[in-house]
Amino acid sequence: MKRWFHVTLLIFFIVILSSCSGKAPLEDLTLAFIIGIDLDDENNLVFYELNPVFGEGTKVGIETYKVKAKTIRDSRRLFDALTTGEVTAGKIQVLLVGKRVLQHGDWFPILDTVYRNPTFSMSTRVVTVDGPVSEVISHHPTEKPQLSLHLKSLIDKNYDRTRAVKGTLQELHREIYEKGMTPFISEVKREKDLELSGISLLDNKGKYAQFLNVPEATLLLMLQNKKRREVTMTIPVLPNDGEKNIFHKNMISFAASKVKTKIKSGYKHNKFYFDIKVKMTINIVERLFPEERLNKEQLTKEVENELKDEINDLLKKIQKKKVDPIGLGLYARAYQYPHYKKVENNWGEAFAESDVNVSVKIDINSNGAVEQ
Amino acid sequence: MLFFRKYHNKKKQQSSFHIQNNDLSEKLISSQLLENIAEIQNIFSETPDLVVKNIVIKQTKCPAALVYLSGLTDTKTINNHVLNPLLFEVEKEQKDFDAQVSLGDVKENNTWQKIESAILAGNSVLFIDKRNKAFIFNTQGWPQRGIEDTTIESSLRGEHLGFTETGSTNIALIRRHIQNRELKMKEITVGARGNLKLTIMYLADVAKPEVLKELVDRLNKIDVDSILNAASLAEYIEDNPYSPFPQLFITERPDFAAAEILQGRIVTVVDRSPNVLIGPATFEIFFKSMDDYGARWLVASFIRLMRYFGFFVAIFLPATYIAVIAFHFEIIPLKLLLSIGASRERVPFPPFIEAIVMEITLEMLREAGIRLPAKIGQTVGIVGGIVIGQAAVEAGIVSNIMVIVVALTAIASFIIPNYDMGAAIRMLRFPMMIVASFFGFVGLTVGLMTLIAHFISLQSLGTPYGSPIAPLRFPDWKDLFIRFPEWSILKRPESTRAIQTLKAKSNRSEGDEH
Repeated sequence: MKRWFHVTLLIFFIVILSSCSGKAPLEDLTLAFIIGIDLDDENNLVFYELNPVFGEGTKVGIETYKVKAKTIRDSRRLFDALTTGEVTAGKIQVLLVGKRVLQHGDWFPILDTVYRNPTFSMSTRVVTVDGPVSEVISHHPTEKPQLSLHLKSLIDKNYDRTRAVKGTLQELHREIYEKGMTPFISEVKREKDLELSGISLLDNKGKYAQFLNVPEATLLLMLQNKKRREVTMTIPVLPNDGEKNIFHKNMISFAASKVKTKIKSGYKHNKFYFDIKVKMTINIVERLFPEERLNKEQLTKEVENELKDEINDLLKKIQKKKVDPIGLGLYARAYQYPHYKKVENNWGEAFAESDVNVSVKIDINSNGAVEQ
Repeated sequence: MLFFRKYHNKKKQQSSFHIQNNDLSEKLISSQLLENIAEIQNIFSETPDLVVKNIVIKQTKCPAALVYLSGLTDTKTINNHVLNPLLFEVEKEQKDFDAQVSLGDVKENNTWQKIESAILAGNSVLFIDKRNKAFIFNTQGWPQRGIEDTTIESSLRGEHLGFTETGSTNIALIRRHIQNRELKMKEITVGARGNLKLTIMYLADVAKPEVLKELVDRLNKIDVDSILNAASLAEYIEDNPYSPFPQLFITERPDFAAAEILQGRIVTVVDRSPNVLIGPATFEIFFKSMDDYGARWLVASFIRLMRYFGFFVAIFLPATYIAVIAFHFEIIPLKLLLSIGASRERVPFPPFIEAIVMEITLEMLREAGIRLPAKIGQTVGIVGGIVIGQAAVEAGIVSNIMVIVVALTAIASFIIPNYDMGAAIRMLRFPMMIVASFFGFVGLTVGLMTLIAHFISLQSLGTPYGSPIAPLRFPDWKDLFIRFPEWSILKRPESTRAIQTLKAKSNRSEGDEH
């Protein structure tokens, strides 16, 4: 009897087991792969959705929908009215946000459901679209893989090459609520083809502040110590030849195998100052000018100066917009807390006034596989 | 349950099912030959294969009768070694024993019960006038097949002799591996009608006496008219009759049986069955094969790891498929999701129905193939290949991925070397599929936990079934997932509860210097 009691108890427990509510097999779902948010000409919110359509055999088509809705959740109701299956958020790869949305400072709360609803994936990449979102989401060249796959690997590949940020929903959330830094996400635009143009810097509310092109993005990521694989840069080290410079005989390209950024913070004369030391080990992979024009010491010097100038330009650019994507505020908070505490809610301005001192140290490791 | 109990009680009430009307238990034979013959004919009425040969012994001129069952005896032995000496030979010297035959095994008895069972077992019995004792000659000889290669548990490097249906041959096959006087045997007869002879073989200085006593007690408690094979005997003495897992190892390999006796286990040879029972069994021995010890240890370890992997695949793969498709599509990588989605699109059934249809088809094919003659069996294989394979997919009944899942499951379950364990695993995947279809991964987790809870509570002849995994006995792990080199395993496994643990000395030479 005891045995049967146990069996009954077990069945009872299994039956009352709480589980993932309601099952829906894969084929009954419409998997949204890309969600887009934009504003139309009358400043109405417009939502886009891209999902795969499984057809005969293994061919996979895609379809896109556009609805006018008040919120993201509200848009699902309208999408459901259009698609075959239930629209599901579990597999959203990319969240496209139109630049015009970002230009309004209070846009971020519309993403609330994305964070509140656990079915959303936190690894969705958030990407700015320079121009209308509809142009990107309706871009389906036949020779490219499907848009969601293409867009995602475009970002991930450039992230691996230290040229873009992943900008997942999770990172974005942290960056928005972190007072010591401002958020930044990758930016794409569609000219003839879809291209990764760089990084959009947002201010601490999430409002669009500044655009950085790809080389600047690399520098920014280097300053954040976020180098992934080898960083490759091409910079001029000699003045232009003056003649018809078709072949840019003043350029040098190198791959930095090691990049180490050290930041020291201080407070003097009622403002913060930062000492940024970048140390790089580089391998020269391309040099268009003859060896005699610069010896190794001169070359080192030239590269250091050029990089230093570029970093200074970048810093000026971001200080002008009062944003701090590098996260220098984190250093200020860690080492200069009493001073930081006073300006905590206004860190962007405090950073804009602070002095930043950059020094670059280069170590040329190799000249490539050519005879000197 | 109540129903069964009632039924059981009823059975007990009429418990005289094997006691014959003619109770012979105390009856002795008489000294009158004619009376004895009459009694024999009374006992064996309506028995046309009974032979009663009346003779006069030449030596003593005494009338006598030789009684035997014709099919169960060896006619040549009777003619040459019993009848011939009795009828024609005369010794000069007078002897006490007047039934002079050229046979080794001769017994005397005077109770009818013994005589009856001796005749039934294929012996011939000689009654002599004026004597109140009968002579029992061992003249057994019944139809039997020769020793053949093992069919179910075939192996590459192991012995190619399998057990046969004759218990004494099977004992000899085991004894050839263990030529030691500590190899002891106990004989037990089970079954009032079947008179099944069981021989318990063990190493007296290795096997644990308590385990042996437990086995003997359980065998002695069996009260049934007849048992026809080793597997049904195992059912009578198993610790947990409701468990899906086999708790006694049934094998047809003498080398495996001998190896387990050497480890301290106890082997029960079942007469008339080509299998022997090995106990106490642990979960892990069902994952061993003799080939593990015939291959180099790295290879053997790799294969053994695959078997354990196959165990989990066979139980959980279809269930995982159902859970993933029905509940947790988020965990599928994007590209795989696209191809799964494309192949699922045309399937009209929910994943559970799809999976259960395919798995049951597979099981039916497997079962159909077993009992068919080999020539028709091939046809089943081809038909099955088409049904399970491309045709079902092209018809849009199942998805490509499901076919792969079914095929993987089948392969994974066939990799288990023991048939009983493989069958248990194949059966277990169905409840797993059901819970997965209701509750997804949560159900799967609960299913796994239930399985583990059951697994660790199992016992075989009173010893823990899960050993050395649960209870954890690390010294035994030398021969568990990884088979260590033979020379490094110096001790018998604790799981067998052997009283003599050391089985080897570390005497391997170290490098060149020796």
